[in-house]
Amino acid sequence: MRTTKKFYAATAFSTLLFLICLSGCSKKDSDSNPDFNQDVLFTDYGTYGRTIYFTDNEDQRWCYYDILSINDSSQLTLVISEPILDECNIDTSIYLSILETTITGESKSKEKLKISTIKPYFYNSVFPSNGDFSDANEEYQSKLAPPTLQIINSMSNSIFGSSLNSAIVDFTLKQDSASYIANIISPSDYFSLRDRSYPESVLELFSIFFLLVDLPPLDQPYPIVAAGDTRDALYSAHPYQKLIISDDNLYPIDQITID
Amino acid sequence: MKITLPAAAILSALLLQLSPSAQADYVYADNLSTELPPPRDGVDTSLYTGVWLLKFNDVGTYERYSTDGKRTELEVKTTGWVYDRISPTDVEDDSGNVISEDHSKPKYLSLYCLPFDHLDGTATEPESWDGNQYTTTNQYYKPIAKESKATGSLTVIAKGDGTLTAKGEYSQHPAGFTGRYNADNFIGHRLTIEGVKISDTASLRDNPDFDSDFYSCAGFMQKETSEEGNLPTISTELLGFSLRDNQSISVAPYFDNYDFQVTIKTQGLTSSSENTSSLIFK
Repeated sequence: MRTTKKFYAATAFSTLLFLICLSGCSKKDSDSNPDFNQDVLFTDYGTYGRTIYFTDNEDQRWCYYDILSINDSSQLTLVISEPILDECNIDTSIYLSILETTITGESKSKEKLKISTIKPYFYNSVFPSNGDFSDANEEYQSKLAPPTLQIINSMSNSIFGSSLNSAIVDFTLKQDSASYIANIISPSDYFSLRDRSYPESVLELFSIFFLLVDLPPLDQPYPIVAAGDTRDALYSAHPYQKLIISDDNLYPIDQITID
Repeated sequence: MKITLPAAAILSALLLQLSPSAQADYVYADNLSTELPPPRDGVDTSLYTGVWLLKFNDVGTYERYSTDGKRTELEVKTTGWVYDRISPTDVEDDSGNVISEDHSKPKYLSLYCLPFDHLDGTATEPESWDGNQYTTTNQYYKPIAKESKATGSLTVIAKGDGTLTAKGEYSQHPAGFTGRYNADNFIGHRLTIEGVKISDTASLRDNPDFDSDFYSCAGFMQKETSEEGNLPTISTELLGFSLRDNQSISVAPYFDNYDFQVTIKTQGLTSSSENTSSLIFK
């Protein structure tokens, strides 16, 4: 009789432990992965801009504009311009690659805030020369006109989109007084189709296309979403500054301070 | 006309005999937990290549968070029967033309039409079987950190007697993520499979053993969806089919030993048509 009571007590205790584990353990799987969570840590919502300078393998200096936009805890948008030789400027209209991502989680380590993103959606736009969005800006209108932009859009998606559909891309921010220091999710500044082992015939087609739509040729640097080196010094020298957007100028690269 | 009681009983029995749901050997959605038939007579059980009839059980969990932090869990239990293939390795000549098949180097079950397969990302297959078994792994890549994170694996064991078993367990993968808030995100599942070999030819379309309307993975499952606080819902879903908005199942799918059949109705603007898809052994 005593044994039976002990047995029932042990069974009840085991069952209780099992039930606790069942509810707790099933949740732990998702909670324990910092890439996926509901912790909202970044709330300084807005649009930020900076320039990124780099030197290519022929020792030429390039610059491109980089805009970060976080308006809620679900979506993070990054915009990078095509690279410009020597200094960033808006003397001519510039193609923008816009990368909309979904935030999967946020985590904090020391003073750094990591925002994990997924499922990038790429499309392109054009920032007009001297910030003139008017019809009178013919150079801008010609770059904006179909089919050029549509072709670039589909190319961007086909080149960049598929490779990152199942990846988590981490964006790390560190507050520095009124600005933010951050990595770029395009750590390699070179867009080289030659590195991607395409057949020569395909490269020729791309070359012709790039020439037709007035994009930098294949051997020129171009931002690409890919793995790369850590470049903390570069990021620290070019922190994000808050920008003011308007309905007709969502990505105001004309407000970004040039070094 | 007056029908006597014994005659009514006989008539009822006859009607029951004609009714598909009364066919004891038929496997419908509500009895998919029935044991699989044995491996088909005459198949070469020393080779793994061929067509397999699989029975699977899968328990998957989704979670949804509202913006105020409330968590809702959704559990989806599925039981199904499905055809799948293990193909031999193609042997190619110098020009890349296939000249023969090497059945001693089997490939792997595709399992692509199983319910949660596309939510686990792409499975990485090993170079070859490890004796009588192999394990596929799933992971996702983090390009900035330059690291991969494992999310699951499936181990398939062929027993050498024309049967196989498989077990898999998967955790959250970007492929199953739909949104941070107010969206059902797939956070993992546990899968078990049993299989019997039913043909030595690894093809559903061109197979001397049977006539078939299918090209690859095909079958059906019963799905029980339970959300916290609500009564579970039970549905029957075809696997390897994609029904259009104007299509519906008009005769319930069923397995009869190794054979499978389902009838689908297509509703047009002015009329409708029915089409039966089947795999019937000769």
